[in-house]
Amino acid sequence: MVDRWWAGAPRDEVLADAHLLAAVDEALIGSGVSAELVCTSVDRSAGVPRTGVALRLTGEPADPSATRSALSQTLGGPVVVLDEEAGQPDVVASAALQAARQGTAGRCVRFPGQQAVRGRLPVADLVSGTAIDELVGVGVEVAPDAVVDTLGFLRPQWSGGRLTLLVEQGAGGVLRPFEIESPHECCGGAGH
Amino acid sequence: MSHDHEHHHHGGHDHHHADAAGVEGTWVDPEADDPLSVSRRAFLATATVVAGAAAGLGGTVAGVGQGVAAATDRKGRTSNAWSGRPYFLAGDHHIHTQFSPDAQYEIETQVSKAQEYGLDWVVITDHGSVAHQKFSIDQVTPRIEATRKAHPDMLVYQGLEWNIPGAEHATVFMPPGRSTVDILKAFEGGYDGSVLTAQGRTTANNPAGAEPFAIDGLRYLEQQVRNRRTEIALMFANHPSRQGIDSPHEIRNWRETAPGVAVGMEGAPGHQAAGIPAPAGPGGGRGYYDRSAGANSFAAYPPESYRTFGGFDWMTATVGGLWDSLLAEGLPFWVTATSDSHQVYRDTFTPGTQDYATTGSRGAPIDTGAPITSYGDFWPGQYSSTLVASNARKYVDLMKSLQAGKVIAVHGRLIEGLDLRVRSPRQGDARGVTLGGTTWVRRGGDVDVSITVELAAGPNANGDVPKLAKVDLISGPVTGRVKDKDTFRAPETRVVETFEVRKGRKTATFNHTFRNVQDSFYLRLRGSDGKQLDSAGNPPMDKVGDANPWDDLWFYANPVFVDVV
Repeated sequence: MVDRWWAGAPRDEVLADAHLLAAVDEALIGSGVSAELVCTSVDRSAGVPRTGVALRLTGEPADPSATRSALSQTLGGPVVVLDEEAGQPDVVASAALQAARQGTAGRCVRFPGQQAVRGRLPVADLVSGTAIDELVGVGVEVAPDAVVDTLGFLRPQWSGGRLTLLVEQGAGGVLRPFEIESPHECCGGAGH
Repeated sequence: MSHDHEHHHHGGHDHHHADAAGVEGTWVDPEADDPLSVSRRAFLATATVVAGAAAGLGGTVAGVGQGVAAATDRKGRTSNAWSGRPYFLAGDHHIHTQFSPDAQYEIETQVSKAQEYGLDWVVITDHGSVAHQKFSIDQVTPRIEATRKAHPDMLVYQGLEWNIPGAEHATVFMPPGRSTVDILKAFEGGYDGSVLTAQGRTTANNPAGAEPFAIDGLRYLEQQVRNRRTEIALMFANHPSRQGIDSPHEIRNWRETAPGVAVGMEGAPGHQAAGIPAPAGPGGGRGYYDRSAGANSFAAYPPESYRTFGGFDWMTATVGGLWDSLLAEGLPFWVTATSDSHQVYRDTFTPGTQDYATTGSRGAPIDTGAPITSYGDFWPGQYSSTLVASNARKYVDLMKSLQAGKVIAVHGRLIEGLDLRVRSPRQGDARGVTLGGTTWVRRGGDVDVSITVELAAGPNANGDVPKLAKVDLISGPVTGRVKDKDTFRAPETRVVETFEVRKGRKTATFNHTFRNVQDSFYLRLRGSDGKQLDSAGNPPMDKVGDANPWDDLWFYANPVFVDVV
């Protein structure tokens, strides 16, 4: 089956992970397909960083044009579909689509196998049980038998065509994801 | 400093010195080669320095001496002349109080604690915001005045933690003066990133669009110095690598815009208790450095830049990293260490219940009676110190020494002080210079570095007497201005010698000679307790949730530049 890649340029209000997934899932209700992989990437070509979202669908929606317009509505921005664009497609959405499809960039908020892994597990199990291709250590070598504490939050990124999870050394001899769900907020997040 | 022009005969075409570009034309006069005209030239050169301080040439502050040196040839300029064993004043330029929405202590508490932990100077830096500008400043001012009376030995500065438009936070402060509070208010009202966003003049998702406001703010501060509304104003970039949003070009632009104001950055951020393992401690990232790249981050920063190394910021801790890339340009830029004290590890207090947004204060903190182990900060001076070699225990003198880079950043009382002397006894500046200074040598000459470290004379706040294990002498060529302002590497900078410290002494003395020097260079020092080193002797990346700060102590000394003439 040919991958069905769609992408959009969401408005700022839906950029948070949970909002983004909710917007995508809502638009796909009744379409007969779901988004098995959802990843964001930042387009800096215009100076102002703009975040786009790319989706890999499980198949062709029953009514593609209706689904597309529903997605555009929930994301609050234009949607592009791989290999279907004529004229001048949205820059941010197109960049997100190409980055994800080619695996050059993109931070995966959802990916196949995500729900199946939790708690602590060996690196090999994480790679075999999910779409993650590889774990890359920051400041640490990743041994194949090393154990990763997922902390219930994984955001692998596309890099060189591979879905890569950055990890670092945590306490107690286990690895931990480099990106965590709730980093420390300065000023209660209100300072800036 | 002597200026023996007569002893150095050289051609009569030597007046065009880059340092004097501002008044170059005025020097082209027929009397220029007459020895009697030297005094006039000295006068002009001095005027250049004074004007230069306002016009953007005042990065090195050496007054008359520097001006005269600039008017000579085959003799370099010097600044921060060595003058014997320095006397250091310990301090902290980053402290929060109940006048920040995320902090809690009375100003008096922070100043008392700072004094208890051996500090001589502090800067109160609550977060800039609409409420702070409107309601907090007028409450802070009288309290600071009261603490000055209650602690006559302490220098207590009123400052601000500025939300740099488009970037991170920064300390901004001035000495006490008639206009200090007015300037702080106007500056915050006009140029604080949070205020600008509230006014709709900048937006959070367009950091590049906000950058010009930062430049304008720094120009404003420099203008206040030029207009003599304040004798001096300083800015230090705080926790520069925490979110990757202080891009290299922004740092360079701040420095270039206001070289007398934007003089440095936190070499080590505060929140040093945040990495103490749970359940005894917060179990977070040391320095609260636990983030990764976001949409507004400078994309080329590598993942490890979001962590500390031996408690120090990646920009400072990386040999040949961003800090070195500035020094390799010949840019004076200094590093410090602060507490960023908001809520202190194992303290029993929680914030007051007052509504910050409408009153500018959290109110009186509340004692819960039980130590709170999720807090990640230390009291001012409890762990982090910025040691400044000041000529006097006076507000302006101390700031001038900070501006001149006579500064060492120290953790956990690893050292008490440092006497650094860099000179060329036979082929250049025989007297030599110290921390933050610039000296010179004739091409092909030798440069002697003598280092005397004053080792810890007693226990630190953890009850340990720290043992300095090694001192690294780090050096790199000064290769001139970079074409790409986003450069953050200095590939030729390296550790040139590592000195091991023998045990059981009060001081440790080391020497190194750079022989047959052909090109201008800089050097700097760092030292470690040796407990956490990678195979190359560098600080490893701190582990999130597993970084006991007391078992990993470092100091970083600010550089000396050596010009080849």
